[in-house]
Amino acid sequence: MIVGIPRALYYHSYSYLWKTFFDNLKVEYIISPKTNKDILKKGKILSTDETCLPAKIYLGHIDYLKDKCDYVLVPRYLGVDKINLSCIKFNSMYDIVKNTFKNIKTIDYNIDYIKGCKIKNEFIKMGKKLGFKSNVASEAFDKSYKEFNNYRMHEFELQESKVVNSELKKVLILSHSYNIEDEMIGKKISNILISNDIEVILSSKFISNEDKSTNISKTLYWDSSRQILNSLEYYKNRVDGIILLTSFPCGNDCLVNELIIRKLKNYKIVNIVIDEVNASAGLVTRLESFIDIINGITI
Amino acid sequence: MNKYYMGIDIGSISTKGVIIDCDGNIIAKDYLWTEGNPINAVKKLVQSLYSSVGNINVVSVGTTGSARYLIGKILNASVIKNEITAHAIGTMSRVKDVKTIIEIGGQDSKIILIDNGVVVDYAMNTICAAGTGAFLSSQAKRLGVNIEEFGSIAKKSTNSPKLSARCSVFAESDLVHKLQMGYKKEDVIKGLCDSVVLNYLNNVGKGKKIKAPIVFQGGVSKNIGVKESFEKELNSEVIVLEDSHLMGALGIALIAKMSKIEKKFDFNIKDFNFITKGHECSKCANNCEVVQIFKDRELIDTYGNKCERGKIVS
Repeated sequence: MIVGIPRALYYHSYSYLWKTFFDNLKVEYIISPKTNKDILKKGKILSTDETCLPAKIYLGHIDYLKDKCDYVLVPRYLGVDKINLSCIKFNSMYDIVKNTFKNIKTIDYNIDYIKGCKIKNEFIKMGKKLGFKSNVASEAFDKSYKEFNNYRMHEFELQESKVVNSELKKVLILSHSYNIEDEMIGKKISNILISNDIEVILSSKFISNEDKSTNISKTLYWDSSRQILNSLEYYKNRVDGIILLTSFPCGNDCLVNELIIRKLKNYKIVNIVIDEVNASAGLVTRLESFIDIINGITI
Repeated sequence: MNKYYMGIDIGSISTKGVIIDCDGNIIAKDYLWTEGNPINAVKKLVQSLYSSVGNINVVSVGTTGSARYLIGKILNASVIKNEITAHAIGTMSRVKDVKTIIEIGGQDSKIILIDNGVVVDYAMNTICAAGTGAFLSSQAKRLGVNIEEFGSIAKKSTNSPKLSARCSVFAESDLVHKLQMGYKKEDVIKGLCDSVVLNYLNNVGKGKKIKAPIVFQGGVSKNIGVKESFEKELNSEVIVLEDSHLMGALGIALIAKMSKIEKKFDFNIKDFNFITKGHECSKCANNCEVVQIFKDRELIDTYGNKCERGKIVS
């Protein structure tokens, strides 16, 4: 039995948890490749034109996996409570997948505060579906959840040491993990920055139990946007510039980025929007100019 | 021997070039249409610069504009830099205390904010080319006017109609409608200039504090009608320098000079035959668009490839 893991959307936040969970249960899995032109093209065909780039990419990954495994992992994520919700489009992703790919076999878990679904119970259910007894699945989950948290802490500390020790100019990329880590969205930007001798700091690596996002907005619903605001509060005075990275047409970011730009004065900020059009000339020009601004080029 | 520096700005519509001396004075300049063939345009440009100054000692070349990589490789440039920095540096060399640069070119428009001689913020038009030079010249064609006369015709207008400023496609249908209603041509042309300005301020200039001194440049700055609309809308003087279209080229020449990287430039480049070949590499799923440049059938550079596999050696 093989589980297919799409390398998109929640993968970029939870891959470590998923992989260790399946490893601990000794379930075989395959992961779709890094997003490439073929995957994007497939995703574009399968989606309606109004959907955002990461959602299109997600469907492309599912399409890649659908004939290569027994089950595709498609979690449904509504939110953990009333004020920590997922974006409405991603919330519906599970149903979109079920409707787009008829007869697709999925394994899933459902984080839905209305039904009171706890992550552990959901993983146990998932384990049962794969044929494991609940105590086995429960044990596997506990172990992998611990490893997952250690891993995140490790990543955060690694980044912290970069912020403290690096001699290079530092730029914070402020975005959702599914943008930052995607090969055709955030990676493009990180690569350009790195080749220009910039230390890249990622908002997705930040972890904290405290919620400081209320400094900027008290009434934000989306947990991913809160993560962005929290990391902004943490890093903003320790970096040389901030890039707001959005994939077209993200409704949440439209609101949140505008808020950030209005509330933060005297910071070097640039707003970069990535869409499915692949020309990178404009992107390179924007980033290079921003790097010049950070370096303070003058006559 | 005196040292000279060359700056070339290859835009989508026009190609600009200058040669400066050690003190930053322009000693040769030219401006011509790119006509979709940047290599030919640059060869012509080099020829023209050569015929005005002869074979002088150019020690460093800088390229900017959308074809900067291609031309930079061909001319063996010391610096290849984005047009925003180039424009800022060029303008600052002329107007020391400039705070805002408005730039409207053939296909893109930009705003550059400067504080104490350092660029602090910028914005560029995104996927929409509304209100740029390309839009104005296509409208000029529709109205049967020469684009060069656009500004002077607009000046005659006494009563300009409001045209949609949100999108140039709608502006165009608006324009036809106004003409059919019986508005005079000069009024409609002035209306177009106004809509370019409103469009710019609503899209590119959105949320930016525009402070004087304001310098307006790029090809569209030659259009007096647009300049006056800007002044009316911003309620402030807008400076258009005599060489406003050359600021990018001047800036990149200055950057080449500052870089202190010297690579001897040979004017005979104009006699070589350059060919480029573009193809999609199919060695992996990235499908990079790889461009190869040949100088008299000899491959001098490949670019666009993300990895070594895309590099073609022969």
